[in-house]
Amino acid sequence: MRLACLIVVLNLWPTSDFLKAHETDEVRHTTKSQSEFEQSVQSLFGEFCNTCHDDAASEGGFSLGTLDLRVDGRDYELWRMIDDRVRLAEMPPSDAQQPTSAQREKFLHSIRSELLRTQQPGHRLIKQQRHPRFGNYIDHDALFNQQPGPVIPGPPRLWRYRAPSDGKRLRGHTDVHDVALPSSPFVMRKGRGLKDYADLYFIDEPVTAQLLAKAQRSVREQSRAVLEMLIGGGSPSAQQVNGAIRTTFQQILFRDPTLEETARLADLHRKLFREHGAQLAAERLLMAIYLQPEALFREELGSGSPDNHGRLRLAGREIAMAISYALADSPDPLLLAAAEKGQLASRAQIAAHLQRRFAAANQQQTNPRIMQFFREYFGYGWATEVFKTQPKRGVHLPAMLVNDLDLLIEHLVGKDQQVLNRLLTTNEFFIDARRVPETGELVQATSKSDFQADRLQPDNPEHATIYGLPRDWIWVSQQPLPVPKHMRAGVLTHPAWLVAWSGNFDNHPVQRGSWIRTHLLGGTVPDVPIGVDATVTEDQGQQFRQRLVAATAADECQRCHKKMDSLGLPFEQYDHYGRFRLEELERPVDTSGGISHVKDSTLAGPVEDPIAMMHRLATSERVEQVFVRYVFRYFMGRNETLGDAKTLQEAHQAYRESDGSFRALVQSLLTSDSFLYRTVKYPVEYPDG
Amino acid sequence: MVSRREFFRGTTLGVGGLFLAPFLRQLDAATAVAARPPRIVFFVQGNGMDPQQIQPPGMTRPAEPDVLEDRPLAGHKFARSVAPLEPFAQRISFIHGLSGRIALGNHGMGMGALGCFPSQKNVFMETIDSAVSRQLPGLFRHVGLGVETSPATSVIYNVSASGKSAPLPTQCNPLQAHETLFALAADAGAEKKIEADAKLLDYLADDVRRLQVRLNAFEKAKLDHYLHALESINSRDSALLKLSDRIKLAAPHADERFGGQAYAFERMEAQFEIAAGALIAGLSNVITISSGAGRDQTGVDFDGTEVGLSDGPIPAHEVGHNQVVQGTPADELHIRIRARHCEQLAAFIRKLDSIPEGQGTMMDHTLIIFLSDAAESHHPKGREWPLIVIGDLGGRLRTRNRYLRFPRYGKPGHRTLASFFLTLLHAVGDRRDQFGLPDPAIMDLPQLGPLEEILA
Repeated sequence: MRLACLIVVLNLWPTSDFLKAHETDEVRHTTKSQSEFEQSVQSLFGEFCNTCHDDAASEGGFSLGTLDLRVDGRDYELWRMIDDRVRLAEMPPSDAQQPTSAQREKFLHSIRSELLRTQQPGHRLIKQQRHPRFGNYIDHDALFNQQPGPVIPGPPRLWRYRAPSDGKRLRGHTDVHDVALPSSPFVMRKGRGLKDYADLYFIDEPVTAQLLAKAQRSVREQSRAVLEMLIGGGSPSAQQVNGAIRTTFQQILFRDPTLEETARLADLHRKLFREHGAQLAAERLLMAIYLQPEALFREELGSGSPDNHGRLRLAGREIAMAISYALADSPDPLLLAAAEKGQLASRAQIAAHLQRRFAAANQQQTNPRIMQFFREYFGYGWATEVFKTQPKRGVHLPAMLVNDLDLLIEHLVGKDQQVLNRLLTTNEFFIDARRVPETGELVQATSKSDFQADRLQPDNPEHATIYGLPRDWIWVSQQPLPVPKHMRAGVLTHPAWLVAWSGNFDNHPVQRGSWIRTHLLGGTVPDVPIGVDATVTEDQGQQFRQRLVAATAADECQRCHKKMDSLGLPFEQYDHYGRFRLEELERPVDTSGGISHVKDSTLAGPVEDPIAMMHRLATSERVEQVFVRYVFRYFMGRNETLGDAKTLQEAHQAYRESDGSFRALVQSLLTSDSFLYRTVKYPVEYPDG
Repeated sequence: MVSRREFFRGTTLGVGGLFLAPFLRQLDAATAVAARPPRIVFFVQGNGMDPQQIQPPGMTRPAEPDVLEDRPLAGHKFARSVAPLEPFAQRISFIHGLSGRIALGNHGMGMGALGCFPSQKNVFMETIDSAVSRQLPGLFRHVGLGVETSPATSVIYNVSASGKSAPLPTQCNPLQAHETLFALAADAGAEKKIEADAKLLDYLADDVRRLQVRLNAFEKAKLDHYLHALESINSRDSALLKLSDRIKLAAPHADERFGGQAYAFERMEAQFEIAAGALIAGLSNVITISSGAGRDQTGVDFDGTEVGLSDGPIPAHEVGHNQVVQGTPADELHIRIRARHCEQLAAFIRKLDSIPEGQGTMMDHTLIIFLSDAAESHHPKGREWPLIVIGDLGGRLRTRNRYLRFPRYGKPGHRTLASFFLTLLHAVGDRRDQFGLPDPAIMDLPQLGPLEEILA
């Protein structure tokens, strides 16, 4: 039997390519509380668990005998699993002796306390938590349902510059590969998920080799006048050298050099000139400025004296650059000027600049990083990467679908009211449209160059049939267009999203369910275990739901699949091209599913179809909070910690009080202490590695 | 084997008469003093290698063999997709039947392929090219060269790793790779530039250290990568200066095939020339060349004109899905694309075979492993991971003129790709018991130890 190629990839993001193992970071934690913890859990292990999980039995391949009893040690993931199993009363199994409620609660409290300790700011023991895919490891209730203390932001940090994204490239093209201009050495990681975290990128040897070569070329092209001045007249005067240094500093670093910097560089030039002549001396002098760490990494180090909480506020120039790069890919001259004049000293001053940028007519040009967030969050750009043959009836134009969804999101973000709710529920879609950048006018997307990725004539009338419109539908400029409410509700029912989270030949309920579990419910999903062949058999006689259920029926599969499948199966309402359907294989399609493993009683329960599910999710406060967490991560370039609880709660509040304004949410985050401050020293019990 | 005089007359490696004498002296010195370490080249092509397509025509291929098949390869006509390699049949082994399901992924398995661990774990363990390079150290311990669809792509991290979370780079821009390896050959004033660069690099390193003082340990470590890079380039530049004559002789001529406008196979040709130059100059002993390989990668979108068709892309993913492109069925496209890869591999072999070394040629002391990181197909199953092995590592392996097919997955005698890689390690002196991770589904079969069928 041929197997379908639907590999269940739960690992939505590659494990950290660039988080180097810094073993020296692993400061071990040995305190009195550790021994109390060990005593507490050991007694329960002995009474209820060791029968099956001692060294001799090792039921399920799991032995408590070899478990590292430090929660933040090598078995961190196992401790999370133990917490999960006991919390859901899966362990001890129902046919074994059960702990009392009090025992279970005490046990869970002990583990949770230890897990929360790893989520405190400054805790560097679990290095994986620096990667976007581990963001949800931070306890949601501890972030949102407790009175927050003062914000404890991250430490002073460097953030490697990213390759500039190009709005024009992104629209209607394969953004996954083109998001980073490939000629830049600062290539971003590929794949789905949030991409630009400060901890993900560094500059290694091959990148440095490229930078050296590029710097030499750039100096000759971009600093020609300065070079000519240094080389042209024989031996340049000290004044000329200092002038060249200052000009290049302004050009590359947007600031004047300090006296010390000028002196060191002038000394470098002198030595080079003496031994290698004017040309090499001048070029290497300027290259030294082009290749300064400050030219390659954005600095967020803070300045002045620490406040009462041991926090440094970012320098005005650092704030100007941080906001510039939060919203776009180049410095904002007005922000830099304001910083120069000391006019970014208050939140109100910063907010005024944000409002200036939000008021710009062309948002994609002014603040391209806003739209980029939604692309990375929803991951719909991946639609162009999922290979599909053309359907028997109609056409599949993934780049056009992505373009349609870009327009819809731009439209809803532009309206800036109940943004998340509308993103999850709207039944008004853009179809086959393109906005003229100069005029804002909506025109039919007939330009072939817009859709090279589809390699098909774009004005194919059948594109609209994907949305359920008739073949002879005539394009109209009054868009978005309403589609029947029983057919579509928001981004997750948009063909672009459905295709992006589908397989080559089938739907992918597991990936879709996993996305909802993580991106809307704030849950976690483990990797496919090593050695598991996660494929669904291909059987033309059976509906996909039946095949998936059969493939994941085993208990060991269900441990994880129960968190995903029931969330993804309602999307069987659509075929894998994203077309609404009532039947699959000439039998009624089963679109039932359910929301489980959530504390919120208004969310939990079965659902009839994806429309009902999306409307229920869209009204959930928790879903809103999870969305805020993802926005936080994107703009902060890191995962939240429990020290960011106040920032997150205030951002959520700002969003609610502004009738769901995304701009208000972003403004709250970019004026928060988490954004503007850096913690110099953490409390001693959470040593900064 | 050609004489040295003939070699230098015929070579395309940018040799000028002025530099002939010192290179000969160096070669003589190298052969007189001690044999240079052997070399291993990994050639990783994306989009799968269908064992049926490389099976010698007329040689029967049981669907599910239960016993080891071991027969000579020479005398058999080679399949069209690998026909360019037929002249080297006496020094080639086709090794079929090894499995690699531990690495299983959706498309290419990238580092999982050369590391024998789950590809979804990405940079999980050291890959074989890095592991053997520890035994075969060179000025550049490992060189990664590659070709991607976009000619503008510079550096990717796709198939090689020196350990967990430590990916090794693949240079996709031949011009950039040429500058890195052969800067000394690029222009007459290179030595002076390197001396000036030393001062620049010292200055920058000092700059980095000044900033590091203000940082916490993690941020400091982040910057350490830059610092180490500056120091490493600086010290290597000094070492390169000592090999200056040799590098100038071995450096390929960087023409338009090395640039951003070049077609994919032109760039691949350039990368093979760079690889040959690096080996000849003695810059490295382990090189990985990849073509559209990497986790979830599906090969390179070649242009139709590169495989005898019309202008326009041949989308690798569509080829993988058995689509007809430009009226040509996918099977035929696979054959043409692999044949072009093999043509370039054959040219590389000839080049190394034309360089005298010891009592033979450089190729006699070189091993090439040709495989796909997607095992046997676009969407691999990993039950059979075909290998084409060229050379015998100076007699350390019994890989000349053999067709080997191991018993099918799960049967007694079945072995894994990890065991083959372990065999390489043993051949170069690393006698560990295991490489990569064992396949948990066949724990009843031996997965430790090298392949005695191959190890000399």
